[in-house]
Order: sequence, then C-alpha cells, then structure tokens
Amino acid sequence: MKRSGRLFRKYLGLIGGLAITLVLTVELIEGYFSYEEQKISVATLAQEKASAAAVRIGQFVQDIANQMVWITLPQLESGEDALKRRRFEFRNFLRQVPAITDIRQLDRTGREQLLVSRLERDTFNSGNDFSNDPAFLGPHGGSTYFGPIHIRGQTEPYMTVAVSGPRSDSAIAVAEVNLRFIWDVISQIRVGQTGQAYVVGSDGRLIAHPELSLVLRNTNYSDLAQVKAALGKPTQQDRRVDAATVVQSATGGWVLAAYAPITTLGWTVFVEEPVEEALAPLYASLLRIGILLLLALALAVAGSYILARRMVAPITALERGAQELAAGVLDHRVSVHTGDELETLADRFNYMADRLDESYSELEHKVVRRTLELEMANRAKSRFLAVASHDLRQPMHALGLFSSRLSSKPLPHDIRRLAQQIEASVVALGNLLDTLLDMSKLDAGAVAPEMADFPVSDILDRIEGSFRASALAKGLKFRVVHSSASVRSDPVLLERIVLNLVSNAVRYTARGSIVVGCRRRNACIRIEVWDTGSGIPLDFQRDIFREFYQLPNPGRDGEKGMGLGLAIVDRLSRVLDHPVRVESTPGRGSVFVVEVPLGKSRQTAARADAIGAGIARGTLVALIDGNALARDGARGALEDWGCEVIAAVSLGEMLSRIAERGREPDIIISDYHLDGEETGIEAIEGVRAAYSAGIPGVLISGDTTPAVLQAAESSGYVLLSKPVRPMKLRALLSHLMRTHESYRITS
Amino acid sequence: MLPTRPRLRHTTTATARKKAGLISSYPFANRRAIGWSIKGPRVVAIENMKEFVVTVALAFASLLSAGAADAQETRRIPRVGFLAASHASGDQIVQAFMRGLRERGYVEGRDFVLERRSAEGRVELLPAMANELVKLNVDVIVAPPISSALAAQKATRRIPIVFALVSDPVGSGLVSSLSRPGGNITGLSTRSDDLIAKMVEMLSEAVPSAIRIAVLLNPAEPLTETLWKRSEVTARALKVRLERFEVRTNEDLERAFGHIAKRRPDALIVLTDPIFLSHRERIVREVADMRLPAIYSFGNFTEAGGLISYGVDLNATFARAAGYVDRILRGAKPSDLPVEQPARFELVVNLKAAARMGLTIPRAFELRADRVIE
Repeated sequence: MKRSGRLFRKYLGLIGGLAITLVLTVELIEGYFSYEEQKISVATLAQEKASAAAVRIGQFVQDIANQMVWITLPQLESGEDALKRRRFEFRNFLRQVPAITDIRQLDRTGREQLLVSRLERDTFNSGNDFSNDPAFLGPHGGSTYFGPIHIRGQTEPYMTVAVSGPRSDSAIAVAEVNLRFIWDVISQIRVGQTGQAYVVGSDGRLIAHPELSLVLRNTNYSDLAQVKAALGKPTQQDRRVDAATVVQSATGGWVLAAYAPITTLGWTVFVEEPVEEALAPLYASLLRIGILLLLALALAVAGSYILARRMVAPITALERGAQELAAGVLDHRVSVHTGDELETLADRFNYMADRLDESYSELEHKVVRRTLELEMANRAKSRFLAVASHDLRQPMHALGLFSSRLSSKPLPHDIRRLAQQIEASVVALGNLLDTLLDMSKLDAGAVAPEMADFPVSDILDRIEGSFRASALAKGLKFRVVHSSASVRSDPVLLERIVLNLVSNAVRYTARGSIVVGCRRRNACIRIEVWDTGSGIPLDFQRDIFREFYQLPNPGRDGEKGMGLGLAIVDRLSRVLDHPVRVESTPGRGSVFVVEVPLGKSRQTAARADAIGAGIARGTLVALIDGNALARDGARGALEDWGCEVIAAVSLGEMLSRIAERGREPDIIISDYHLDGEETGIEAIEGVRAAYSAGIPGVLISGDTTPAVLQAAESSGYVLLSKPVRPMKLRALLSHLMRTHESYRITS
Repeated sequence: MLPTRPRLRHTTTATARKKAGLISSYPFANRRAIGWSIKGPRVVAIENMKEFVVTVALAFASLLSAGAADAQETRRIPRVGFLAASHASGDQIVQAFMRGLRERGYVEGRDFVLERRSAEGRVELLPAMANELVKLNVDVIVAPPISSALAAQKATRRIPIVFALVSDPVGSGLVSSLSRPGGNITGLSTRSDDLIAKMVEMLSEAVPSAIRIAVLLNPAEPLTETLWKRSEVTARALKVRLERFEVRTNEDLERAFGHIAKRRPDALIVLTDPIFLSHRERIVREVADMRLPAIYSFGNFTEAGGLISYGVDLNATFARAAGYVDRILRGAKPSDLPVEQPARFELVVNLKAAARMGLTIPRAFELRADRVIE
C-alpha cells in the first residue's frame, strides 16, 4: 500500500531530474561562455593598460627627442656667436627638460663643439672626439638615435639620445637622459588598486619601477617568467601585444601580467595586477552565475515537486478508492477532475463501485434472509428440545425421588432388586435428560464459565474414581497419569469435557487400554485421552462433534449413547476457549486432546467442595409445587434427610399452612411455574415478605428456556432444573443453611 | 558568436613551479596549462570547463575566507630620532621632513614620536647626542649632514640611520656602494662635490667683474679639501682667484668675516657646513652689509636674503628622507635601500638682495634661474 509514495518519488525524480538537468546545462553553458568572455575582457583590459603605459613612456622619451630637433636647427649666427647662442638655447632646453643632465653638440666630424651640464662647467670647443661614438654614428638626416642604457654614478640609469639636424651639414645634439625621470610617468600609471607598471630594457634590466630603489639597485628582471617570455620573442614583429599571463611577480605574489613593447626603444612595459584584484569581475560574475544557478535549481525543485504532486493526486485518489472498496466501504466514490484519461478511469472506477455496491447489497439481503431462516429453524429445534425435556422432567423428577425413597425402605430381597433396577434406570434416564438439557442450555448461550485456578489432578482423581470400575468391568486397562500442574478453567465444565471424552473412550473400546494423562505445552496443559478402540476414519473426524452423530460402527453397542457426548464437548470447548482435537488411526485407536491454559497456583475448587455437608435435623422447609407427584417426591426426600416439610401448591396455601404450624420456615423451595400466573419467585418473595427477608429461597424448574433462566438469574435465587438429583439438592440446602442467606448467583 | 579571443599564454618558470607547492591554494599554481593557452578548440573547451569548475569553487572559497578579517596587532608607537647638527636650519628641515611623513600618512603621536637632538653647529656634541638616541632605542635615526651621520654610525651598528645632506657617502665611509649600502645606514647624497665647479662658474657669470673670490669653508669637514681643489681648477679655467677663509667653530665665524672685510674680495662662495647653516641669517646679513655678491649651496640661504644658491632643494630632499624612514619603519633594511642621488638642482636668484646691494645681475644669468626672488 506504501507504493503510492514511490510513484510520487518516481515522478518527482523524473520531472525534478529533467528540470535540474536542463537548468544545470543551460546555466553551466551560459556560465562557461560568460566566464570565457570575462576572462577575455580581463586579459584585454590588462593588455590595454600595458599598451597605454607603453605609449606614455614611449611618448616621454619621444618628446625629448622631438624637442631636441629644435636645438639642432640651423642658426643665423656663425662661429663664436653661434655657439653662445646655442648655449643659451641649451640652457633653456635644460630648464625645459629636467631629465637631461648634459647636452653636447657635435659637429659633422664628431668633435664636441659645446657642452652644457647641470653639474659641470659649460665648455666650448673642447675638441673631444666622438667620431667613433654610436651617438655620432647613429643619427643621420633628421633621424633620432636612442642609445643603450648605461649607469652613471653607480646608480643612475642613463640613455643617450642623439638627434641630427635636418640638413646634411647640421650639427648633432647628444643628450644624456636620466631615466629616473621615467619614474614620474611610471608612478602615475594606475593599474587597478594595487597593480603597478614597470619598464624593462632589452637585456632585462629594470629601467623604471614605482619602487625607485629597485631601479637604483640595478635590478635585472630577466629571470622573471613574464620578462623571459616577452624578451624571448625572436623578432620585433612578433612582439605584438598578445599576452596576458598569470605568473608570479618579483615579490612572489600571483599577478596577472601583460606587457607591451616600446618598439622604438627596444624596451618592454609590463603591467601587473594581483590576480585577486584583476580577476575580481571574473569572480563576481561566477558568484552571480552561482546564485542564479541556486535560484534556478530551487525553482526547478519546487516546480517539479508541485507538478509531481498534482500528477500523483488523482492516482492516489484512485488508489485510496480501491483501498476503501477493498475494505468494504462500497459507497466510496473517487473524485478526479483532470479532464483526461485519469478522469475517465475514475468514472469507470465509480461505475464499477456502483455495480459492486448493487450486487453486494443484493447478496447481503439474501444472506440476511437465509440467516434469519436458519436462526428460526435452530430456535425451533431448541424450543422443541427445551419443551420436550421440560415435559419429561416433571415425571422424571418425581420418579427419581420415589425410587430413592423406595430404595431406602426395608424391602424383601426380590423387590429390593427391582427397586434398584428401577433406580438405575431412572438415573440413566435422568442423565439422558440432563444431557439434552445441557445441550439446550449451551445452545441458548446460558452457560457462563466461572474461571478459576485449580490443580488438574482434582479432575483426574474424580475421573479415575468414576471410570476405573466400569473399565475394569469391560476388561480394559485403565490408567490415569497424574499431574501436579494447575490449570485455569471452569472446574465443572472442564470436568464435563474430560468426563465425556473418557466415557466415550470406555464405551467404544472393546479391548486394550485407556490412558488419561497431561502434557505441558508452553503455557498450556494438554489433557489427553488415549484409547485402543476402533478409531475414527479421517473423513468423519469433523462429523463426530455434531449432535446425534454416531459412527456407523457395526460392533457398537447401540444402547449406550445418544451421540450427544462429543457435541457437548465441542460446545463446551468453545465456551471455555479450550481447543479440542482428535487424532485417530482406524483399527489402532484414538486420542482426544484438550488444551487448557496453565493456572497460577494450586487451589481447591470451591464449587466441588460445596457438596456433601449435612443438614441440621429439624430444619423447616417450605415446599411449594403445583405438581403433586413432584411435591410428594421432594417432601419424602427432605423428610428422609431429617427435615420437617410444609408442602403447599401455592403461596396462599403455604402462608396459611405456615400460620397453622406456627413456625417460620428455615428455607423455601418453590417450583417456578405454579398454578395460575404465579411464579416461584413471587411465592418465595411472598413468604419472605410475611416472615423474614433473610430466609433462603431455591427455585426448581423443568422449564429451562432462556426466559426462565433469565428471570431466575435476575431474582437472585438459585434455580435447580428438574429432575433435581437428590444429592445436589441436599448439598445446596446444607450450603444455604450454613450461610443462612440467599444463595445468589454472582455472575 | 564569441569575439575573437586574444591569444592568451601562460608561462611558469621552473622556480615558480617549485614555489607552487607553498602556494598550492592558488588554483593556477599547480596547473600546467590554465586555459590561457592556445589549443585546438575542442581541447580548449574541455580544459577550460575544468578550469571553470575549479575557479567557481575558488570564487566561493575566497568569498568565505574574506569573511575572516585579519586582526591588526596593536604595536608600540615607533620613535624616530632626529640628530641635527645645526639649529637655525633645523626647524625648516624638520618641517620638511615631517611634511614628508604626513604625506605618507603618518600622524605624529599616533604613528610616530620624534626624538629631536640638535647640536646647534657644535659638531663636537653630536656623538653624545647620538649615544643618547641609541640609549632611547629609537627605531630609526635621521642624521642629515655628514657630521651627524658619522656620529650616529659610530654610536650604533644596529639602529637604521638615514642621512640626507651628505655629499659623497662612499668617499666619507658611510656606505660601501651607492646601489648597495651594505650596513645600517643609507640616505640621500647632495653631490655638492660635483656642483662646486658649477657654483664657481655661476658666480663669475652673475658677477662678471669678480676677479677675487672668497671661499668660506670648514676645514674640519671631510670633503672640504676635495671641494677646494676642484674649485681651484675651475677658477684657473675662468681666470679668477680664490681665497679661503676657514671656520672651525661658531666662534670662528666673526673672525672670518673680519678677515673677509679686511681682504675685500669681489664675491663669496659659502660651502656646505652645519655651522654656516646654523648661522645663515647672520652670514647673509654680514655679506649684505659688505655688499658682497655670494653664492650658497641651499635655497634657504637665498630665502634668508642671500643672492644666489645652486643645489638640491632641501624640501624635496627631506620629503624623500621621510620616504626612507617610512620604508624602514615598514620593515625594509637600510642595506637594501640604495643611496639616492639628486637629479634636480635648483638655481635661485634673489633680485631683491641684488637690488639692495646695488648689483645688477646680467639678464642672461637671470634667465637661467629656476626660481627668482623679487
């Protein structure tokens, strides 16, 4: 039934998986491309910074060279005046360009004509020969020469810049440029927040760096990966702006480095930015993608959850409908309004339920009718049995009392024998009637077991006493295996079961032995009755428990049974909830087993104990019975036990008789059905009302229909059914007299 | 379609790869190709996808770690010793130095404490003052002129020393080389020795009539003889005569001017010395009284009324000295900080002073001036 959850999970997995896969795919592809674009833009940005820096630094140097062109222009003056004029121009030029420390003019032969310096005395026509100097050989016809970097005064990087005038006879101006002044440019180049730019010469020497001391220390960066890569380009042509790399900077941190060459000077400008900073937009975009992805995933999951729920709901409704139907709720209908095949299915289902409901109620109707019929038949049978036994009971009751009295009289021998035979027959007849009565009581549901804990040997002892003689008389071995166990049961009813079983065993066993014993099985005692009788074929093992059923056994003594013994056993076992089983092999014998729950401790059965005490002599018994025979029988018996008896047919007569006698009765015995509409209960109540409410009362009745039993029970008086066995009556009377109060049924 | 991808390249040197072990937290460190490489389109795609995933993870990781802010440890306020040889100049120099520190974000009392000692021209007091600063266990000693620097150098080999007005740090034995000073001392040189020739030339150009030029100098200064020799060479070339007037102590000053007044030279060159710096107002006044055209090494003489000065800009020099102090306080070793040489020299002409003494400065010379005081 829990499979419905699985369908939901399956749908959820399917839809959710699809949605998540789609979202992931789209977002990852999107993220990947966006990442690539960001990366390209970051790299491009770094390169642009490098290019811009390269342009600025190139411009710085180029500006110096461009300005130098002015001071190489031909002059009006000649000779000394020209040089003085030029000195003036040079001095102005030095003021204009602080980066230049010295500037000299060479004539076309390479001789120094003029030197103007910030440090030294100005000199005219020193005659120093520069004709082999690259600064002289380099520039021709207006072109510019940029010399290699050299160090002056141990620390200062210098570069010689030479410019020749536009004409072939023009002088050449040679300036010593202090490259420290590039610091002014480089320190102003901003690369992000903490990035920096620096310039490296073609040999890897650091020319300019925001950290001036690195330059003054003549640092060489040719070992740096990015510098190596940049300088490693074989030709100038390849040294285009084309790379942004993540490398370690000189100080060890990871930086995004880009470079751009200054082609005119052979220098390379590097810009470096810490990766965290350079890639910050990259990280930001990744974070954005990540958050979007999470959001999309959450939406996908929520969406698929709702979708799966909605898909499963009609199926769940159908499933629940089927479940209700299976549980018998036939009026349950499924409500599905999806407008699709599922709704059609639900309609079909409801239609099916309608049909099922119809046919079921039809069937139920039939069953009720049939049951009613059966019940009526059964009730008729019970009534017949009850009435029959009642009608038989009255004379039987009397007969019993008469024969008992007869036997107790001194008689001639032959008549005594006769009397004994009559008494035996009466006893047998009484037993038969008792059995029929029991059956009818059991069928009427009037037997309520009184459960108690008692030793099983109580029952076994009595069984042994009852059957040893008859078994031995039949030539059978009879053995009872005793047990110390206690059982929990109704001692009277259980004894009846065992009694019936043993009695059957004795009856249907021609030779061999009978063994009665107990076995312990877990919380149960199995009372087993073994015989070596003819056995019961398997096919009949059920039938033998039906009333009036007798095995078709040709060797059987037909006189002995009515076929009610096992029927009673069956009913009692149900009342007590003690399962009874039978195992049998035809020709070998049978075993009947009763399973009884274990009891707690040994207790003697209270009810079994109540019998047997005597009645005080002179006890006055008020006996009311409409039936003269029964009345005389009872009276005789009571008088035999030493009681004094006041007999009457009705309450009125009784009251007058008691008044005659002038003594309050000690006990009242009344038949239930008296003349007219009067009942025994009313009679007893009448006497008690007239005399004492404490006088015990006993009801006797041949009618054991449920109505009578009910009335007796509610009145609280003990009801003895006719024919009353003398011993039973005596035991009851003695008990009542002892307690001197009404014996009330406690159930 | 994607825009054309700039060709990206990744380069890793062998040493960088070795170091990568230490910094393997960085994703690109231990990756051969990080995707910034030229490859076939398919290969690049796979490679880049992996890189992308790694970078995504890293972005989140860095985001998380950013939350843990590093706590700034509270440390004691650094103390900066300032060992001045002169006094009158002291204030201006110290102001320039403090300004330099302020420009670098330092606030006095919060970020540093200045321990100032001034010998007021009496150089013999400097060693004791230097020892005092060493006893105070200052974090750095600023000892501008050569006399202060030598005193400080003698007092400690441990505490970093920054000089600012030393002409020839190598020659005077302060550092072993300009690019790699080597010891606990570094700073800025003035190149006064290089400039002496220029000063002679300028003076004779400003006063073309001058034939006898007096030179006020302190023979106790280590470089004085070198300077004297160089100036003599220039003087011979320019056909002028130099006369030296020596001042060893503050007390010598009056006597020296007495001599000058007696000798009546045409012009005067005042060389660099703490005594002259300390008494620059007096020197300028005496010179003006004698109507003697004079050239000095520092702009503060012309600002005080002197006629001409040519040399480093003191404000700029001490601002840069503050830069050294800043780097030392941030942990740099003096031995790693090269000595900076001046790249800019300032020619200041005080026309007011010229007018006062009735002197006409040639127009050509006036035009050369970087700064004119009118």
